[in-house]
Amino acid sequence: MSDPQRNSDDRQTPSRLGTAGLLLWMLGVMLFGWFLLDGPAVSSIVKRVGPLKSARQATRCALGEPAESTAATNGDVQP
Amino acid sequence: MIFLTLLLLVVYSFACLSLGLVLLRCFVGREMLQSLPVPSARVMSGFLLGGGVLANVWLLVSLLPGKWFRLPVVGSLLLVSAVVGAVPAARALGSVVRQFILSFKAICRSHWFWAALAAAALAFPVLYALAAALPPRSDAAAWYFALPKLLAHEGSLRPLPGYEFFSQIGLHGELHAAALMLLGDPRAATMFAGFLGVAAVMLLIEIARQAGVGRHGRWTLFLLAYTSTAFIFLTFAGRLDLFGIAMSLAAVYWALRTNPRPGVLILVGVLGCFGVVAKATYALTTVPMLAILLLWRTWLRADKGHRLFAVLRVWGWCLLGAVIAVIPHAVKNIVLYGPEYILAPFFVPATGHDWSGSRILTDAQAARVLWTYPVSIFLGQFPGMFGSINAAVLALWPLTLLLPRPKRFLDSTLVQLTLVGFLGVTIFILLQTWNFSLRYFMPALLLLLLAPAAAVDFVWNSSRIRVALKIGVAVVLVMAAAERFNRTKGHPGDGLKYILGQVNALEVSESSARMCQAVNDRARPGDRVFLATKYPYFLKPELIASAAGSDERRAVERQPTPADRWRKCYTDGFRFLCIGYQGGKLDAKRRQFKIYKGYGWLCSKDLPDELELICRYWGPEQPRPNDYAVFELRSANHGAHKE
Repeated sequence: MSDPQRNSDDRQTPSRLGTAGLLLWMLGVMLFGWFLLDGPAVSSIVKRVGPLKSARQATRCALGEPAESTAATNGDVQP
Repeated sequence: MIFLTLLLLVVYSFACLSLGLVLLRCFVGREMLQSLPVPSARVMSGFLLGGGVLANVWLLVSLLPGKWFRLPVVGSLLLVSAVVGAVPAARALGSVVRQFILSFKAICRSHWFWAALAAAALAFPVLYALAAALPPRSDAAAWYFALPKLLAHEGSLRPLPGYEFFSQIGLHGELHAAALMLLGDPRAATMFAGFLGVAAVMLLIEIARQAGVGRHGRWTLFLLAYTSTAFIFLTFAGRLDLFGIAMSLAAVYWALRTNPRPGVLILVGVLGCFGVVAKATYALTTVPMLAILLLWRTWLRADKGHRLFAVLRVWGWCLLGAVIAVIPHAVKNIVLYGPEYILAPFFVPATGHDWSGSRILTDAQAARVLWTYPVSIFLGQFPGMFGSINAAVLALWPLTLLLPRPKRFLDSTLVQLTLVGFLGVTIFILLQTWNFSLRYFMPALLLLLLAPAAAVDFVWNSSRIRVALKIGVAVVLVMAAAERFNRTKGHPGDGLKYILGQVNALEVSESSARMCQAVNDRARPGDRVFLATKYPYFLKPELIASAAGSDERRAVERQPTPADRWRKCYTDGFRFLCIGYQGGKLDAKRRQFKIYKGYGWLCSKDLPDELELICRYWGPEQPRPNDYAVFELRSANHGAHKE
């Protein structure tokens, strides 16, 4: 089935500000993801900079990580 | 040996494909099959349909009185399946290979950056195929692969001792695993999921093609799926969720057909039902997604006065397909549990196991999932979440604002798929917030990758978009791939060593494997195991078969004195106790234990004088110290001293 969405290029070109905003969002999210989930080179940087380590731990806790690693499913097999 | 494993997998998959293509032609007709834009949708749908039907054949065979699930029966049926559509299957496979080569060449010709990205994306399925060779882990070592091992050993289906109620759930991947084990290769059973992963992604790509997503977008989709840990984790370690995911996506693909004839609608019902049987939680995502998608597309196309009738007709044919597909599952539940369990695990009697009561998260954690939604899907760290979707999806989503506005918004396939994806995710998160595991609503999540992939395709190809933004998109995609290469999940390195024979199964398995091996090494014929851990998979099949069932545990627990419990254990033939942290408490210092978590109450201190316990395994030191122990229970007159 052809999709009408692919037939036209009728949107305005994003302004410089819009482009900058999109770039900032994209790179910000990716860098934040790297920082949080141990992207390349992150571990060695975090090891050297103390506050980064605690900031990362606090962010992880804010996003659900338990303070202590616990058995997630209380030992039950999940269906 | 790996070549034999791969050969078995190829033959088995070919049998699924061959049978599936014949059935697919019956459902949708030759004309519609030939009208499909590319052969991969036909091949993947045929493979999944054939696989679904074969799994149900195995199920019915295993329920027959007597022990029919044996090599001659399974081998013969597999041979018939492989032969019945061998010629069209071989041709279709050739077409898919040609399609893939053409697609890869085309993306390579478009730009060197895309050539590199496509090559990187293709590396992921290969990496995780290595990891898929590793033995089952976690829940797979507890039930999902222990049941197939028991079935392959006994030749008929019965509930796994200790997990008597668990077989109420739909069986699908478990039956393929049992057939592959019966054919002689447990490694093929775990690796089969890798094939399902590729089938699921290929179908997602075909859905994207239906939605008008261009070549760059489709390769982006491939990359985003294979760099999302929530998806990757399902391709190895014996996870069986991919059966439900791939079936659900196949149902969505066929639901997108314009003016479908009844056979196509029945096919949607069959595939959707296979998906729900394979993964019960998809009743909350796949079913509403399919229902709304069919309603939406039918409503827009039907004549004004006949819309309601047209929708009811479409739903009715789908329902018919679903009813046909659920029959083997219903038969299994009636045979194993009785007629009142016919629709378990969805509807069970008041005295049965409450499946809806299962909760992974606490109330506070569930509330946090909602507060941080949708970031929780991409960057969440919740217990039991089992991976996340690549943050690149979140990063790329705002680019959808740049997509050209469809001439008729509601007519756009991309809009429809994205909104039903949101619907599936929202329904699950609102109704099952406490079970925030992405695999439980993965089909809906995968549909949410379509819009950012389309946006990437548009941004890359549009002359109106600034170069800076194109570079930004390229950086995001490179980062998405680099993050996964940096921390490849699932130990592909271990998988490679295991395949090459440099390490054995015990060295690359969880510590429960070493615990079971300690029993296997010492158990004599007739010895039984009292399991106070949830992982029986690595035990010899005859030990799994004779392990303590729930009734026997209760009988032990009901004994008047603690010493009598031990005597009851001994007279019932239990000579080994496997104890894990899930079953009780282990005291490493004194080499003592207490079993109290639903596995019967036993304490090593209460042992009567006439019996003795000898520790045969205690470990491991890493990653969690002293998780498991094995004790041999024997008469004190045996003559050996306590260790």
